[in-house]
Amino acid sequence: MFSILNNSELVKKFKKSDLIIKGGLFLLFFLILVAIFAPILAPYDPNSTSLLARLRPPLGFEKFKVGFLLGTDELGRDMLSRLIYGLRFTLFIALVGSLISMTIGTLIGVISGYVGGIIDNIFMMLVDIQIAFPGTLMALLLISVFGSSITILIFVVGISGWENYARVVRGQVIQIKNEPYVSAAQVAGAKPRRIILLHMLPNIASPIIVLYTFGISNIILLESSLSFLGLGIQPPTATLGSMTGLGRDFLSSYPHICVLPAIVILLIALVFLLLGDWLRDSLDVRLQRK
Amino acid sequence: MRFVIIRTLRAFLTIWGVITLTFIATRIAGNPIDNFAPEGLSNEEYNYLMEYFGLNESYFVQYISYFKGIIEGNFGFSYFSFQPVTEVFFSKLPNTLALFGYAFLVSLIIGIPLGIYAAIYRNSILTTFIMALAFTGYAIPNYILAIFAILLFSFTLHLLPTVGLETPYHYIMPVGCLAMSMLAGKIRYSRSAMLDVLNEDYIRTARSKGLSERIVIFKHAFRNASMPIVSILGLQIAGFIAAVVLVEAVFAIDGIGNLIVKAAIFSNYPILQYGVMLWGSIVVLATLLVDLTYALLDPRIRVN
Repeated sequence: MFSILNNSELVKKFKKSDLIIKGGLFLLFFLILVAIFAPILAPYDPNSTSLLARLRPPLGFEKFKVGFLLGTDELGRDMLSRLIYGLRFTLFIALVGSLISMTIGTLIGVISGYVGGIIDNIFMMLVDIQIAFPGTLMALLLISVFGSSITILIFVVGISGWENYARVVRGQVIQIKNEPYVSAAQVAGAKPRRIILLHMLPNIASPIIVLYTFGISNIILLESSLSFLGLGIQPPTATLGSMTGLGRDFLSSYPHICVLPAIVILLIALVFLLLGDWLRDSLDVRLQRK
Repeated sequence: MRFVIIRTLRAFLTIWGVITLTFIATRIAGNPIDNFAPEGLSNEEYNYLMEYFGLNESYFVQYISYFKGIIEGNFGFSYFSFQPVTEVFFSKLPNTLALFGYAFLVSLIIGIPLGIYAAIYRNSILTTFIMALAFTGYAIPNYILAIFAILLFSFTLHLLPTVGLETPYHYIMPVGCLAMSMLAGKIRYSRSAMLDVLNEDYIRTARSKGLSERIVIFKHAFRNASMPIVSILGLQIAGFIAAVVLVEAVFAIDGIGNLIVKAAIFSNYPILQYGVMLWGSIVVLATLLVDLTYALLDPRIRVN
């Protein structure tokens, strides 16, 4: 499955790609590095307050205070540090969350496509139910029932979107089920588990990777919108969504508190979208339902 | 006929599944009264509440009576105002419908012509611009767009009010933000539907007959492309609950979206259950309608 990631053709296509794609991928790489090295890069503790340096604007505005490059919020917390930690948090939730939905969806898709019959019908019924049950509503319901904590949030965003994987993987498995190399493995006496893991999954990895990339983008938006509504992780923990949501109260006089995290959300969701688009075109994947 | 029956049965089974899962989810964490009951509630009052909402029965009995209620048109009562859930919903519906309706209309009027233009003039500069607009609408979450809009139009230019829906001016920003997120899909789908049709043989025939380009585009191409466009629009309506919820939250509009968010914050389950059921039913029935229409028009689907 990982052979696709160090695919030399992909590298060649990257070298030939647009400036926008190149810039986007470099930005993505940069943001991921920032998130990983947050404790080293952040100048302050993201939650430490300072009453003497409240509501300072970023560099270049009046009343800027040296040492707080992007200003401070209503409690005097350093915006830059909060943004860095917020980014780390958002990325962590998005990566783990889409890993969960990928695992669930792929598993169900493979079983559904490979076994067929009544099991396939039941699983597709579940997919139908999930489609009729939009991610946001399900998240609201589950958070309302279980309260909001990091675990719940990851779980909630993780089970939204599995139906996309299930549908696509099932279609792919049905398509390649009768390929000669699968039959050959069956005739040679390979067990279903071996056939699926060694022969099928490597051949349907491309669409899964593309879905995963789009999934990250979707989950970033879902998580940040939940936090924006006040249903995500509770303060004072910095997440980009909750910083935007709470900063809205200061929009008229101190817009940087709200606008800066909003811009970071926008950037990070955008670069994953770009990456997904580019991977889809480069790996030549079709995701549309017939 | 068999196709219609199976498809309809499946649709109702799906709705049943949504209702059941919602019911399980709201009961799994224990007694809802414990979540919202104020401190110092006397035993008597507690028992009264339990009985009023039928929560002292076993889960199975509750489930059965919930379904009985649905069939009779009784969807439960709000845990706070004690009003019937439907009454609460219908009092908020006009705002949401107005918002949604205007946004849908605006995105339709702007989006489809732009999509058609992009399909006809594939290499013009305007097309690049249109596709960039579509990408932006798709990529920018509408609550962030709304924040930027408020910052620009309300706090910098002092042109538009920020909250509520009292005057026509109040509608401009929320409708604009909602329309922007609907626009992307409309441009993309109408463009690809037109592109598919423009490659057909009958378009070449029409052109070779010497018909004017306008007649070819509007009489031959658009009429054939409109069917897939309409069906996808139908399915798209269903996907906008998240957008509505967020736009209502930013502009503090007293509609269904805010109602559902508040119900989630205060564990007002009957409201949430009704919201999920309503939305799920809309999605399922819209899909069913599209599938059946297609089957009616295209015999190949009925056989498979």
